Amino acid sequence: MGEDTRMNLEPYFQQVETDVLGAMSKPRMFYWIALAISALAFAGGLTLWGYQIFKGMGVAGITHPVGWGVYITNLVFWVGIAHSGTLISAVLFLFRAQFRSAYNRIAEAMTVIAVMTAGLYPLIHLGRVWRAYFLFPYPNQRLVWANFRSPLVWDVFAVSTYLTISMIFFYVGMIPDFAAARRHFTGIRQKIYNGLSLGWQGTTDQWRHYNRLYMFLAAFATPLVVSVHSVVSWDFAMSIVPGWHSTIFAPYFVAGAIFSGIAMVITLTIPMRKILKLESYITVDHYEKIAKVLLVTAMIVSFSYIIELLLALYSGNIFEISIFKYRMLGHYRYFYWLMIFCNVLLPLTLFIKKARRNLVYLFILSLFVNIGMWLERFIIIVTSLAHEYNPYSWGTYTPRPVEIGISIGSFGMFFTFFLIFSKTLPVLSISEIKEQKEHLEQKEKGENQ
Amino acid sequence: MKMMSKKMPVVVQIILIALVVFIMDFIFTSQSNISILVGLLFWAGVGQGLIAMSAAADLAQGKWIKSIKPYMQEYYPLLAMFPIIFIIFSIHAPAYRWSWEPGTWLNLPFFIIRNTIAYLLPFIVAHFYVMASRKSSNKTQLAAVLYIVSFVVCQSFMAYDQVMSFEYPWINTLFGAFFFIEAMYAGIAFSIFLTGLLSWKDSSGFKSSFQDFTLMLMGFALMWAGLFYSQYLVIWYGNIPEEVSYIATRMEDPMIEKMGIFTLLTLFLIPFLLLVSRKIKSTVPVVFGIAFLVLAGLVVERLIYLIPVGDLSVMGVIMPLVLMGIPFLALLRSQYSSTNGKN
Repeated sequence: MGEDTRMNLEPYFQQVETDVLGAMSKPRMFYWIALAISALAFAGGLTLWGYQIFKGMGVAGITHPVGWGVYITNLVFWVGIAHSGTLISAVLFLFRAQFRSAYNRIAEAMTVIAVMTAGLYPLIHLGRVWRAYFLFPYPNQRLVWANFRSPLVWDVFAVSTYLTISMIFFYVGMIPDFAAARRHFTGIRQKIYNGLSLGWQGTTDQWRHYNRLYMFLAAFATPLVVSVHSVVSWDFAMSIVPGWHSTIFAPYFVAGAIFSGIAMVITLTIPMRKILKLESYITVDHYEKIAKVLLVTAMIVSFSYIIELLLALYSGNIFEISIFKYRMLGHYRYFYWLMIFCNVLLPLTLFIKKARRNLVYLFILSLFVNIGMWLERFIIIVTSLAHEYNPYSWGTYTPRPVEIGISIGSFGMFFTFFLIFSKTLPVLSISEIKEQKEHLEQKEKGENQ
Repeated sequence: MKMMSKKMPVVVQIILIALVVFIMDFIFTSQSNISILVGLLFWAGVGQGLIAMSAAADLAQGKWIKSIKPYMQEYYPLLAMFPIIFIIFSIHAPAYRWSWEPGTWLNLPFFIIRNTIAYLLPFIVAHFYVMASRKSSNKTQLAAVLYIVSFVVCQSFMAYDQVMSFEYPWINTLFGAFFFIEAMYAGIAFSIFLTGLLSWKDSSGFKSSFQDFTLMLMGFALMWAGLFYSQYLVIWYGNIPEEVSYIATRMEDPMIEKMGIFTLLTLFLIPFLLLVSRKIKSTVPVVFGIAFLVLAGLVVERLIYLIPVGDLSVMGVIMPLVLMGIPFLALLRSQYSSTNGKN
């Protein structure tokens, strides 16, 4: 890299630092209102959880035959949301997709927060939360080991590994930016960022080690993305419940998770770029590219829906046919068709370039996809349990206010942490934006010569 | 082979090969013999997978494939061979047990019509896609999407209709997706030969593409393993007799068991473990060996699907496999010969 180019770009680099770190400056009223609403919802959710622990699981609507309801739906939904963080960051990094720099930090933060949110649901669903240690393999003298044949135990391993790697990946990516923040801020904030930057000076040696570690983490995290949601899908597919026992579940869940995660990234970034004045860094071109990824994943999800239905009909298995008929025409039919509208039909509009470049439309579409993906999990879980083999044990399930309140509380938790993140950590990767600009300049220079 | 590709138009090549396949099939196999299906499934996967990789790269605006893409697209006329070979195979269609008691979906006339259309579709769409791509038309992306859709439809029919239905009513919902991922895997393995050979003559344009293809090969090895395991685990863990019997039948036969180990080694362990090394990734002959093993593994895997369900003969498998491969190898050789060396 020529010194000349770097010197010429210095004003731009200064501007990037000012813009990105400036977004972490004193929040405005709108921010405080949003934070207050989210924190209130979070506190409400915690209170209701306390109430459920005190009163018992009877206050929730889950009972025979639907033993898994909104809580497990939320678990799968939040784990799914957590997926796109690593996808955008690690997978797109490995594929050298440059548009990742607009989203990677936000997506990584979203991953960490969403995994923490998801992690609460097994505890909430457990009822007697103090028995949670049964899921962990711990040395004990009573020979009460976790049941390693249970996919729920696999879940504990998969999700905790994913959380650990995601946090390391998130943190490592921020080290050079912490050094920039150290220069930008004063007082206690400077001290904190100084500690977090681990003495980063930006020497050639440090960059070499950093790049090697980042590449290693990206390569390590990519298979984890697949493994985590595959394991979550096996919570269902390993059983012999109609509508669950299907080999396609692992890739179908992975694609669905990426689909919903990308939709959430769009939901979060469109208002955020406006509020934090980052329009020149997260551009319409970036949205067009991510909308294409959304479209591809929507098509994979649609393929899975079609294959599941057609093969149920092809097999002639009365239980499989019955469950798909029930989904389409039974008690939860409105949810099913709304899901088809949100996840299959609406994303097809992204074939139109104008739709991909219209941010208001993209924002609304992303909200619908989030609703559709939540409904997908609800339908998979609830309809199969409500309509299993024996008609004598068929039943219906309606979520109770406590479950709805706790669910809203989890959204409150997610947005509370996300809002805190947006004001305490750099929301864009400063070092990567600089690096990309340098490459671009170099390329242009090379072409001119 | 060189003379064939240079002087004979592709249409004539295809007709000639189809004719020879038909005669060989007539001489060497009986009506219940389904050997020809092995070659059909394999080469249709390679051909369609090659174009699918090119279309996927166009959609992702991947620059790494830019130099090799025109060469990959030259293979699209060969896709016309597969509907013809499928019609020849349909002579053996009574080998499907369901044909003795036909149903609404599974009956021979409908089966032959829909699968012929399924093979024809990627060829027709590939034609429009390649034309658009060569002209750098603004319709390239749309044509690429349509090709990917037709490719997925065709591979799904190959999986569910032509292979899975041998064991009706056994179902495996992932089978279709597994087939089209394997087709892309085969396309990448073949592209390795193409890029590697061209990079020997002109290292400036193709060397970086070659290294990217080796990375893709490694990634697909991992993906293959994930998809394989997703099927195996769900079926084995579910432990439903009518489902597990599919795996049990294959594991109880010592020869198929060994073939299974071979596919695990060639499609996952060998490519994945060897390609971790940066040195091996850039050693063309070793990567050629790995790509060859991947292709061999895919052939053996097709044998594993078909051995327990129908009659197969050594000549019946080898002859069509070799014959269908001739136009691919002939084109590869002509591309190699016509590239100007810049080293």
